[in-house]
Amino acid sequence: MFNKTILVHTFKSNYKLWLIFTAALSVMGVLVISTFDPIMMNSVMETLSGVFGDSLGSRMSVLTLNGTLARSFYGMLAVVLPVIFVVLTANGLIASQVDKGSMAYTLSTPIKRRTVAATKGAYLITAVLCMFLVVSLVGLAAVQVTQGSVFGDAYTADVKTVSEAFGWDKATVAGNLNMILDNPEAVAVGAGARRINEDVYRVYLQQKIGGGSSQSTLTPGEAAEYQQKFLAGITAAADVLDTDVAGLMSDLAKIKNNARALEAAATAASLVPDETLALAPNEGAALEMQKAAFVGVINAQLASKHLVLDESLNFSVQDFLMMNFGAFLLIFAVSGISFFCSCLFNSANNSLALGAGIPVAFYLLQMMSGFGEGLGFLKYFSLNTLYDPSAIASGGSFGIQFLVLGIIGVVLFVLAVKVFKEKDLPL
Amino acid sequence: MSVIQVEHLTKDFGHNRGVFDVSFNVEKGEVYGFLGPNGAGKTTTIRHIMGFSRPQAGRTLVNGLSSWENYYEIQKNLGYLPGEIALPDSLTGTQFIKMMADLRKITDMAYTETLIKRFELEPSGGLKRMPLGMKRKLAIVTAFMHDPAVLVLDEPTSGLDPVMQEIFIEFIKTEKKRGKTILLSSHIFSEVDATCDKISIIKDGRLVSSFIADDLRHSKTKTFKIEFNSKTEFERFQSHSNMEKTQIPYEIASVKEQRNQANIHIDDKDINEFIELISGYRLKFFSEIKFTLEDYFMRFYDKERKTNNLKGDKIINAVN
Repeated sequence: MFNKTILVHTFKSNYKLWLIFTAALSVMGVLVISTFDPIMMNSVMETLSGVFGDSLGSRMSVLTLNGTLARSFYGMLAVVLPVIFVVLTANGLIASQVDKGSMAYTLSTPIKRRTVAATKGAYLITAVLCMFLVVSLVGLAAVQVTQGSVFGDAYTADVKTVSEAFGWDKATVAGNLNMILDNPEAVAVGAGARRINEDVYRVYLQQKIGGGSSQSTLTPGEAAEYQQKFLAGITAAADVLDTDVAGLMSDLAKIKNNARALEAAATAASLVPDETLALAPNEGAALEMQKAAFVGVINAQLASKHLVLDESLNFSVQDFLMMNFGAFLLIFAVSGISFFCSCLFNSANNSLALGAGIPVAFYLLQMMSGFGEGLGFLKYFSLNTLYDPSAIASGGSFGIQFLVLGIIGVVLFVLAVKVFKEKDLPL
Repeated sequence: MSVIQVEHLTKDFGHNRGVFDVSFNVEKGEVYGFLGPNGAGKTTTIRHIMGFSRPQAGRTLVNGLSSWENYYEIQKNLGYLPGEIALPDSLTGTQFIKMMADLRKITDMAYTETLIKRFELEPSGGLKRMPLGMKRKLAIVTAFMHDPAVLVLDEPTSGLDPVMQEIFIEFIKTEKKRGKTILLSSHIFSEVDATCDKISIIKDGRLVSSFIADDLRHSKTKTFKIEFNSKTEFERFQSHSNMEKTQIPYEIASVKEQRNQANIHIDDKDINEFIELISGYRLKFFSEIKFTLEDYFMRFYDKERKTNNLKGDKIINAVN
């Protein structure tokens, strides 16, 4: 079925191309992973949801590392680069050798055509498999090194920056955030890394160390009352600032930065209980207390938002591996197309035209199907639709699609070998 | 049983291209010449013998095995030299020889080494930049390295320099002495003439003539060129020839009026009678025109000559 000599020679004349593409894909993967920043991502998503409405922004999965990888890496690069590799390699394995005539030497030995085609097909499948194995391993290593979230929790941006600035160990800092909280300089650096006010950062750190929100001591009734008072304050501030309440809610820092707005909000909310307020020596001091209380709530709100953002650093190794496996299956099916064309055509030009044209058409059809409702039907004409990395990242189903991709690949490779066995060769 | 059998092989590529009802046999120990210009169907026939193409009708057998069904069995004892040398660019000559040895499961490289020496091959360089002559030699060495009993050679000397062509023809003769069966396709008359026992001529996909080479070399009909001393003598000869058309022992093939020349065909048995007759004329010279394979071949490809020449048919009849 397979021949060692042919395999060795196929490897020797093809491994360079494999190395180039695998290296390029790995580097791209590492770049996407290492530049992942949930805080930045969050602000981008907020802008986007402002423009496109909630449908896009509400997809929580896009905020996570898995979601980002699904969208920007496995949805594009990890498909396009391997497809180019597969198209070039498949054409060189059979069609170009038949076209040039060098296949005559292989076939003038006592080796069956079936063995020749099967061995070359096996090389192609193995090359694609190894490519995704390497990309998976490099990806996992990159996630561990830059985000630290393969084994244990991820390092947040502030932990990373502070550790680097002070020469501390990231794991130690992450395990004991008091190291930052007790060091004013570290707090300044950390707040800078998170792009928030130092006060908010302190609250965030306390919340993180405490392992929950600061409002957990309130009863549901009290919390609702609190919420209402806070909302009244926001409404007052919105009046002063001449904006709408919803907009202001997503940018609470605005209130802190505007003295008149803060005063109005604090007065309207009057969060400080009367008995505490009675302790104030005068009106001005009472107002200051109200303001401090309101700022405290705002800080707590902003801090808990950052706590949520930290959640998005959580990385699912299983989802990541599934994305790689799915990408492999898609490329396996595509390589089946290219290899079939390579076995079918005697002219390298024809083999390349269809062996590359069909995969490219599939990719374009899938892309166009996302452009609008009217073009949505196009996805049914594309093999790429069967691989949806975002569905994997957000817990959607993908089992049947994977199975179909696998079957398509196997069938095409079997047919390719059969076609090569039966056809006339111009050698 | 013939070593190579081609039986009513037909493959129609359309537009009158392909091969049509081609049949011939190559016996053991025979060198068989397959003569025809480019595009006549030589390579198509060889592709079928090698098992690269499936016949539309008819079949080809090597050692009694069907080429299409048992191509991999046949290859064990067959050496193939393709007409077009297209070696894999990515290898060096040495790597290519090693690859072919591995594919054929040859472990003892002694015979390969003698071939390399014999053909003065320098295999160390990369195939991409190797000169064409060197590539041809490399293809020759890899076709013969397993010392096969059957050789299929598609235009083996094209691309070789004259010295190397001579070495190759000598090699074919030695192989023939060692009992090898050889099918040699070519459009070069000298190499076919020098090596082949039997020859088939193919034209537009059809065999137009199959004959034994020696019959052509020792043809019983010879051609002579005669130039007469004067116009009068020439005209006397012509009128004599015209008058006694049924009795004369020769046949006028062509004449050149201005030079007083005539080309005539004479059967060996009539030669004395002719000498007697011609001694009555005053001649300038009298010489034999050697009849070559090329002359014979050209009859099938040169329509003008075909019309006024009948001798070729006589030879075909002699073989058949």
